[in-house]
Amino acid sequence: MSPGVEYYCPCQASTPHPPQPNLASSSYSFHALHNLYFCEECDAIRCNHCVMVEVSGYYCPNCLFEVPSASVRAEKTRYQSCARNCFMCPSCSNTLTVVPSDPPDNGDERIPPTINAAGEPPFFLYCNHCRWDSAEVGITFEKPTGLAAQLQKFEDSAPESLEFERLKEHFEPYLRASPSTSGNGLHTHSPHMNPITAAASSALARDIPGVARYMPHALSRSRSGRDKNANRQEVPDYRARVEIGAITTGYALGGGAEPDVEFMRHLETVEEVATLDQRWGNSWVTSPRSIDLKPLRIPLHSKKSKRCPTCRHILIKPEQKAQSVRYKIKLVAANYLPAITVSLPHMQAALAMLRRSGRANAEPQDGTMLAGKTYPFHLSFQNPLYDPIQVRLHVQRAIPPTQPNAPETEKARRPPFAITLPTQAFPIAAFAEAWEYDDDEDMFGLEGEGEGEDEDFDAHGPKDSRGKSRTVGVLERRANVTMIGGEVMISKEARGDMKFNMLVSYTYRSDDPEPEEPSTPSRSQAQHKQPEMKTFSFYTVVDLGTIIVRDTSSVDLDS
Amino acid sequence: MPPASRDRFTIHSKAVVCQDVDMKGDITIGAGTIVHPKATIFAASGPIVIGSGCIIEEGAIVLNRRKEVMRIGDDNLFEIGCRVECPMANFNTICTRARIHYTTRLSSYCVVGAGCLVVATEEEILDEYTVIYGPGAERRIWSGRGRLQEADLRKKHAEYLREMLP
Repeated sequence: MSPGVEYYCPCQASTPHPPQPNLASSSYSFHALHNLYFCEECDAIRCNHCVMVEVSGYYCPNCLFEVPSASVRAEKTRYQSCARNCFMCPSCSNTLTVVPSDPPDNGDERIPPTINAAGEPPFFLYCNHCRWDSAEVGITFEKPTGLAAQLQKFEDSAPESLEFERLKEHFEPYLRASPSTSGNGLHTHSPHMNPITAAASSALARDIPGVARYMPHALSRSRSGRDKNANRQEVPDYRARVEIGAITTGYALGGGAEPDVEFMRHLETVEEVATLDQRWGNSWVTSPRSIDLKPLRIPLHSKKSKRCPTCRHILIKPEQKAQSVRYKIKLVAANYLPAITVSLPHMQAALAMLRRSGRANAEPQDGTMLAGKTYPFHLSFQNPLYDPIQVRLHVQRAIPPTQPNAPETEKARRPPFAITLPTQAFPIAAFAEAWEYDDDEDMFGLEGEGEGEDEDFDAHGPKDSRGKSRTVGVLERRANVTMIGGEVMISKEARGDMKFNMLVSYTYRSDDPEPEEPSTPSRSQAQHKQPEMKTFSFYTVVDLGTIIVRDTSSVDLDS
Repeated sequence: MPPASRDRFTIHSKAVVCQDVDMKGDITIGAGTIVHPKATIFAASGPIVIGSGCIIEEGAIVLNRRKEVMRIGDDNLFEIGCRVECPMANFNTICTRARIHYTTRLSSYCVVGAGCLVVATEEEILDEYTVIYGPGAERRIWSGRGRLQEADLRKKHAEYLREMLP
């Protein structure tokens, strides 16, 4: 895995400190930055696990027709797919087009057949990609419009859907009556059971046509339950329209019965069997033969808006129109938190060398490190805010640091590897649009600070025999990106993934001035003043790759 | 057209062969065939005979690696950037960036989908109405419905190009 940084959302934990990144369960708490939202009201990161999702509109992905949510809700199953002319090819899942039939062939090659613009009456669906057409499965239309409605008639007359309709009809009066009877706690065998679950369980325990009665206990129980509730509205026995046996053994394939076996025995090529992908979207049992595949409705897509779970403010809200890809409200974390990318200079050098020599990368693969060595790494921070920020980093130890200003001291207690990062805060310049960069006035720098940091580090940093080139500290600053260097020292017995939690706190100038400060000084003056500064901290996990173990001789050489 | 010593081009007077077409070897082009600029026709070993009404689009490569005559029938469409090294009959469509190896032969009304690679390990003749599509170059047999409309469209396409191309 290539090195990367993921951000922590504290929604799943009770403590503000993230779990150890090496735990398998920790991956649920860390997310890529582009998946996160930021609630301005709560001043907190929100992830897809904790936001509240609501559907703000349905549309067909093919024709971009917006289906009113009321009709989607009313027609529960039927119109969750596009009710217009959109169909999907069952063979290659391309969209199908409606085409007219060929005019009658006059047999003469020389005279081009007269093709009338409206087309010949039997229309059918045609796939431009794999040239599947619906006439192969006997689906043709008289008109080129309203195909779904025309097809609906066929679908409604299918035995399975008739059966389902009847089932719904059968249970509907009972379901409607249930809320009224739920108050009388007369249920004998289970007082916690509400009538709907009772109905479901009794329906499940009922004698299913075609299935042998091998559950005498369940049957008797449900019967006794029924007898005790005399005042409860009773569900009469449902009699199936078609016996289940008739479907499987009679005419249809796909029930897993004899015809299927027979068909599989006489296969000649694999293509004769429809793939699972092709059959997956169907509601009913379908034939396994690929020549029997029917055109598929295109399911509707929805646009969703998301809310903060605590303050219920909208975090992201798309525009209503299906054609638009814009958002009315968009509070994504990428606009608030500095984007961190991690890179390993030694890997890039190795890759460059490999590329130059033209060899396949037989040596250390992407994202691997050798145990017992020390590697530098680079973290580059990109500031999305329009104000410069000061960033301070802390590496989380095995025990979450109680006083976060001295992470270096307990290095010895961290067995597999030790991370060295600059402890001092470093600045990142403000984000500016491209046209603001014509002169360098924004690029005020705090040069000389890096030197001090280096000194600071050598005091308690790793005593490296290779001298202290600028591997730790601020390496590069340009525009709104600051690159800092860190160092990781891997012990010899280290194994597994090199991941560590890093607390990033950044100080920024808050947009809304403090209420007790009515006379705000001018902006340029306020930039480095205390009262208007706010600090926000968040945890990230930095993944530097996997540690691979080399044989001991070479490790000894290196160390 | 670059005239070369050993090249021998026989181009029908009604064919349209644009400038900047790279042609080498013994090539015969039939009536009404349109060769777009930047197309390449290489009769490397044996001659190439292209029938009438074909459309060879930009960047298409037609190449004969064999000694015998590579015959391309009538009304074939070679879309942009395809590479064809095989003979074929009529009304085939070779879609964009598809590649057909010289071991294959197409009969009529075949469609090789965009980006498909057809490499037969041994000599193979594709049946009529074969459609090759998708990333895995799957095959199926087209029912042939809509064939006349497509033929009509192809004719109009060629007519339009004949009028418009310089």
